[in-house]
Parts: sequence; C-alpha cells; structure tokens
Amino acid sequence: MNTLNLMKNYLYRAKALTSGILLTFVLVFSFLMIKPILYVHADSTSQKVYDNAGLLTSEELMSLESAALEIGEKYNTDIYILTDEDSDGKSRKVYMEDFADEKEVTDSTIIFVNMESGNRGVEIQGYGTNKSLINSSRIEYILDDVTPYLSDEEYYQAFVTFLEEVDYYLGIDPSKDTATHAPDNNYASSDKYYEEENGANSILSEFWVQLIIALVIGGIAVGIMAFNSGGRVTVNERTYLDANHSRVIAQRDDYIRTTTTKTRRPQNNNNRSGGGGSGVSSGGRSHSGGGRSF
Amino acid sequence: MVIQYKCPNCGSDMAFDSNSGMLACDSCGRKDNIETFPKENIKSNNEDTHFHGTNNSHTFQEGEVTEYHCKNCGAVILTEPETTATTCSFCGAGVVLSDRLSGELAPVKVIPFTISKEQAQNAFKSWCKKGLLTPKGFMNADRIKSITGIYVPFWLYDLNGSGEVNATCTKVRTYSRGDYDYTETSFFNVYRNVDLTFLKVPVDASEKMNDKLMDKLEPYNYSNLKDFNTPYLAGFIAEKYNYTDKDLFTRAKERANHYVDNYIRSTINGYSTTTYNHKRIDISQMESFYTLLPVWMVCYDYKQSEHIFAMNGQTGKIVGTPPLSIGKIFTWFGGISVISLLILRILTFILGGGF
Repeated sequence: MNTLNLMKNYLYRAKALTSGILLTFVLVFSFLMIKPILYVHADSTSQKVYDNAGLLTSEELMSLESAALEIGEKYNTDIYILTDEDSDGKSRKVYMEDFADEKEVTDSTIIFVNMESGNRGVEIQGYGTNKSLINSSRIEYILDDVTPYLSDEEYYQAFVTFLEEVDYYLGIDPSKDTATHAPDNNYASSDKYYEEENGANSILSEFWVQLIIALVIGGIAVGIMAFNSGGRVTVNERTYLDANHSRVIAQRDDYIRTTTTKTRRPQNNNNRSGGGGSGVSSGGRSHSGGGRSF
Repeated sequence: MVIQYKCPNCGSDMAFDSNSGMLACDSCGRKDNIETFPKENIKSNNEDTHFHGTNNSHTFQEGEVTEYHCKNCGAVILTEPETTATTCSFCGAGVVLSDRLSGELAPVKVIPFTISKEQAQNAFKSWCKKGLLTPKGFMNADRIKSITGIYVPFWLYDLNGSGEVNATCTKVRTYSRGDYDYTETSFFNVYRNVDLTFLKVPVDASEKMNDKLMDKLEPYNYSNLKDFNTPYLAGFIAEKYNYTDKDLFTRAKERANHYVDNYIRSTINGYSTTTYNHKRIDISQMESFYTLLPVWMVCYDYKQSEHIFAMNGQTGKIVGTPPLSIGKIFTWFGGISVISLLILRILTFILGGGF
C-alpha cells in the first residue's frame, strides 16, 4: 500500500514537471514560429531603381534600370538604387536594412541617396556574397568617386559611376586587393539619426542575450515567490516607533567641494563587421556598409 | 494549583470565547464577563498539586514533570514544566495551572484570541488555496492533523535608541558639451543625531517556538492588549517563559539597532552615494512586560511529512513553509521567462532594432 502511494506521488510529480516543461517549450517555440510572420513581405518585382526623391528623368531611370539588371544577371546578384527625401526618422543604415528585409534580399548591393533637408547623405551596403565582394573597404573607394558627383548634383553620373565600380569589383576577388580603405571616421556624425538608433543595435538587442536576461528574470521572480510563500516579516522601524517621543536632535548637511571629470566621447562607428556602416538588419541579414554626407 | 471555570447555569466547563471575548459554556450557551465572573464558580484546589522534582518553589527546573488532577474526572494531568494552561486529555476540560502564573511568573499583559478555531481553520484552508507554487494536493487543505490555540510567552520591550552618524555624501550630475562628457561630483559632510523611543517590541520567550516564525507573525494590534486575567487562558494551551527579559535583551537590542540605523538612513536623502565615517548607536531598556500573545498552531500532514504553520490569533496572518510543486515552479518560470522575452523583443522593435 505504501509503495502504491509512493508510486502515485512519483507519477503526480513527474506529470506536473512534464507539463511545466512542455508549456515552457510550447511558448518558446510558438514565439519562434510567429517571429517570421512579423516581418513585412513585399511583392518581389523586377524594379531595381526606386527614385522617391525624383532626382532622375524617365530616360535616366530606364537606362539605370537596364544597367542594374544587366550587371545583376551577369553576377547572379541584385543591385538596387534608392533615393528619398523623407527617411521617416530612420538613419540611412536602418532605412536600407528595412528595405533589404522587405525585399528579402540575398546577394545584393544597394546604394541609397538621402535628400532629406539637413541630413543629406549617401550609403552603400553589400548583402550575402556581396558582403565580401563589395566589402567596407571597397565601399569607401566607391564613395570616394561617387560623392563628388552627388555634391555637384550630378545624380545620374553618380549612379552610373556606382554601377561601373560595382561591376568592376564583383569580378575581382577581394584577396587580390593591393590596398584597403579604412572607413570614414565621421561616418556616424554624417547621419543625425544614427546615434540614437545605434543603441538598438547593441549587444542587448541580440536574441540570445535577451533570452538569457528573460531566464534570469524568470529565475529571480520564481525565487522571490518561493521565498515569500511561507510569509515574510512585515514590520519595520516605524511599526514600534513612538513618534511623540522620537526626534532628530541635530542634522547638518555641509557642502565641501565639487570635482569635475571630463572624458572624450568615443566615436560610435558600430564596427561590428569591420566597417563604418556594417551590421545586421532587423531580419537578421548581415551586411557590409559605409556612408558619407554631401 | 488547578483552576477550572464552571458554568453557573449547568455546571459544565467554560472556556474563553474569542468571538465575544467572554467566558462561554458550550453546553447551555451562557456567556459571562471575565471581570464579573462569580468567584464561587472558579474551582481550584491546592492539594491537587504534586511536585515530582527536587524543588517545590515557583522556579521550575529543566526536565521537571509536574502532576495535576482534573477537577472534573479526577484524571492525572501530566504537563511539561513550561505549560501554564492545557486541556484534560480524558474529558477535554480547560485547565489553568495558576501556580505557574503567580509571582515572577505572572504575565502582566495578554492579547486574547479574536479568531475562533473554525475561523482559523477556514482562513488556513483559503490560504492554502492561494499558494502559487504549492502542489494541488496541498491546496485542498484536507489533511489538517491538529489546530491548537496557544498563548505564547513574549517579552515586550520599551526601548530608547540614540544614534549619531557622520557621513560623506555625494551628488553626481552628468552632462555633455561638444565631444566631451562631464561628470560633476559634489561632496557633502552629513551629520545626524537622533533620539528614538520604541514601544512594545516583542521578543518570543519560548524555547519551543521557532523565532523566525514568531517574528513573521508580527505585528499584533496593541489596542487589544489587556491586563492579564486567568480566564483568558481557559480552553487554550499556554506556556510560561523559558528566558527572562535580561536573557532576551540582546535580541531586542539587535532589532532596535537595525531600526535606528534604518531611521537614520531615511533622514539622509537626495544623495547619489552615502559613506559612513562614524556611526554610534546606543540602545537602553526602559521597561519590559511579560505578555502572552495568541497563536494558532496548525499541524498539516502532507505526503507522510508534517508541516507546521502558525497563525496570528488576533490578525489572522499565516506563516510557515509550505511544500513546493516542481511542476508549478517550472510553469511559472517558463511563463515569466517567455513574457519577459516577448517584452524585450517588443522593446527592441520599438527602439528600432529587429523583432
């Protein structure tokens, strides 16, 4: 009879434990399953040039479209040209990352010219195989040649130069490069939205880091619940204090001195993948990158 | 000396009724005021007491067993030396052992039970149901082995606490200008001198009772504190103290020390950091009262093991360590972790990161 009771107890405990573990896994996996649904899926069109800022004529648009398609087919890649005059409060980097996620790009090179008042700039990013072929060093060389045209408002010529150089670099192994070009030190300050967004790209936004934090929170919460399950001390210094016969006899707060320390703010270049604008999009797409203001 | 309270109506034993605060007869329902209870109905007999020990005085020796006789059925009542009130194991009559409540052993104050046995049982059952981590079988609360009303001996201390503190405090301000971050730290010399009075700080004087459990039962409402009178003990179990007020002063002092320290800390505010350079706290005893406080002790039998719980017999606060369900722990852990993860992901998404 005693053995039977012990068996029942064991089975009950095992059942409760299994249900708890199952619930945890169901919740975690259901979360992981719905994760991809939360991304915006755009219809995959063959359009390569998105001139939202209206910098190009219709002839120039058609010319760039065909050139981008031609180079893309040649190297089995996608090349996109974007312009806009309102980036919705996003940095160039995040604007492009969102575009890449929306188009679900794989092997791609993207150039984005932001014409927003007070925040004009250009950014180039390489995704997939293009991350190494159009790496951050090569992007800096391309920007050296493209930015002067943009400053002179020769937008068509800037994009033609971009396509020519991408065509050149996609055909050459990066290991054959004789020199590398370091990213521009003023990369971050060239974009007024970059600083405030950069915090979101910190280590705290990594899924696994957040999972660990969540597990720690869960552990602490359950620990507190278990600790308080048997009741707790609810008295403090005020419970037994006789306010009528208690007082502060003397109190003094004397100012002594003030010291000031000055530290230089580090340049926030987000060099996670070895380039000024390199990083990972919200959809998990890793890319090379670089940018300039003009 | 054995004292029993007999009903003037029917002659049955009377016991203290926690609901009315009067002596009540279970047989005929009569209720009598404790202060005006007729003396002729208080049965006591000096000759019924036999001391089996080396000492016949009121200071009881450890391990001494004392034999009393029940006035109702004549049965022998064997008690531990600390017991001052009990019930007859044979007829269930409430018995007060008054010789253990006289002289130095006489309590000064008592807080009577305000929660009846039925109320205590119901309150305990509903408390069991509220357990977030307790097993289902425990939550049914159908295995209460015993529920006993005990008057636990406490010393209530009136204490004076004086504290003097000298500290260095800082106020930190950070701001940015151009390419630089500036940290401005202002230093202050802070002095506090306090004189505090703490009234009726309770310290459990029974060896049997778990001190941590008794501390958690606080606070008691002292507006119900009465001058001690033996009828309050009728129908309940009561203990006499094992430790004198001098023995327990160290514990009371520790508590008061902590209270004074916390009070001083509460007066130093608005600073980023506080570092004590010098701290002096003195605690002195003004007065102490031997007091009996009401506790319902619940013995709960769950999965072949006994769990002891205590309930404040005045406020109904329940303390004790319940069994924990591993399944529920994992369920809560999983649930909280997943919700936390979702919140963190949503925050990242809002702040411009990815989901």
